Amino acid sequence: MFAYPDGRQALFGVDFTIGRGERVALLGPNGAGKTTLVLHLNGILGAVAGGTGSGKIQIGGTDLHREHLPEIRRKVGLVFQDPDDQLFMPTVRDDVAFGPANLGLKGAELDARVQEALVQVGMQDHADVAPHHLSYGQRRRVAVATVLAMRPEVLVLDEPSSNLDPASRRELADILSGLDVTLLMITHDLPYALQLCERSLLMDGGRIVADGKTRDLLADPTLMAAHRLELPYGFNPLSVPGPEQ
Amino acid sequence: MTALYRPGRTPLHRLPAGPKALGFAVVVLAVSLLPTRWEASVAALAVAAATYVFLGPGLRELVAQTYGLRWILLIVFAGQLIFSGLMPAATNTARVGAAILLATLVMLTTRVTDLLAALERGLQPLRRLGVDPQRASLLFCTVLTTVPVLGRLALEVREAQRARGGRGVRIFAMTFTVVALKHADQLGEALAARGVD
Repeated sequence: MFAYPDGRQALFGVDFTIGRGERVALLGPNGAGKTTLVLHLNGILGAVAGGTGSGKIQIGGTDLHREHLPEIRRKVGLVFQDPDDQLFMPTVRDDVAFGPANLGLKGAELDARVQEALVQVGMQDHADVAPHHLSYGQRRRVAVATVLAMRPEVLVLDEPSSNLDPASRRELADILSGLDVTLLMITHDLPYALQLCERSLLMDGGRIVADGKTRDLLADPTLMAAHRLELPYGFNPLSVPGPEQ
Repeated sequence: MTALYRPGRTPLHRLPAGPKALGFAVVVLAVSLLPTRWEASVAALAVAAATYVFLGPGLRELVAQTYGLRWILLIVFAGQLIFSGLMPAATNTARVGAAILLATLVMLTTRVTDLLAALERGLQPLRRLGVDPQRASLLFCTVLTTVPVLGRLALEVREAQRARGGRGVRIFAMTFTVVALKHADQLGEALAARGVD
């Protein structure tokens, strides 16, 4: 349960477990509480950071309490919907270095960590560029790198394919499918969910209303219609391949 | 400002960021305090021009930067002309132009990261007064990098306003304030997510 400080109740009894290495899509209409939920996962919202609520969040065996916040924030990497909210340093390199530097890394170890993250998203040739000089798709990839540099156990992405052109969308999918992390991805892009996540959680009205295989959920027209979800014209979830296992 | 840096190997590029910024701050302050006489303004302009040509990125950059300042200088000149007359307006505008050109030289020849590191080092003595140099440096940095983001947001708000035939400054200011505050809120969340509380 969670209510914002202004009293607006956003979550009503959300209960789920994600196994290590699982890839899960978080689906639901606007206002379902998806972003509110993921902001709880590293303590940006919730009892430790304002608002009122009850319940328990455990990440990799660690309870989310104020004293565990640094550890939780290392374990859970959040990629925000708008990369401009996430990129605030003068160069790509500095931005990617920011998180690990806060963890105490410095010198050659920090440089290696930055390079590793930039290579993972294919942005190593743009290390000295100012983020606002990059295309939107490149900024999104750098935003992913800023989080990967902290070597998170769980990668949480809020609408990763929004505002991307088809090529950037496919490039990001290639990057995400190659990562060895637990992945939780908010998306309205249902084919993207099917492509990348074998499992989906469906939220509506601050509750989890369905939890199952992405293909099964997307192929249930009654469930989809009840929660204002619609597949793109002509898209049949039963006729396309799902994520590689 | 973050886009101003021009890579190079001029004497100014080779100067360490801290002493360079401090030195230019003193020179700009001196130019600002010069008496309102045409000889002083000519001297200030000559110093700025010579620094660009002999120690900095050269004549072409001097011309480009001066051209970029044309509207600011025009506004300063017009304001001074109304209240002070032709000669004071010309001399004051020349001094303002020289001061801005000299200040810009620091950004043209210094990476922002080097400048921030210098700022952090420079603020270390204030630690005993409760100032956190890392936080101050991060604050300065986010201010610098937020400028182009706010510029883009302002453009989007203006375009949305124009698309619906609106031209009011008050409506623009209100919408832009809301959008800017939302960005600030989300930037705060992003900072927290990466270990800054």
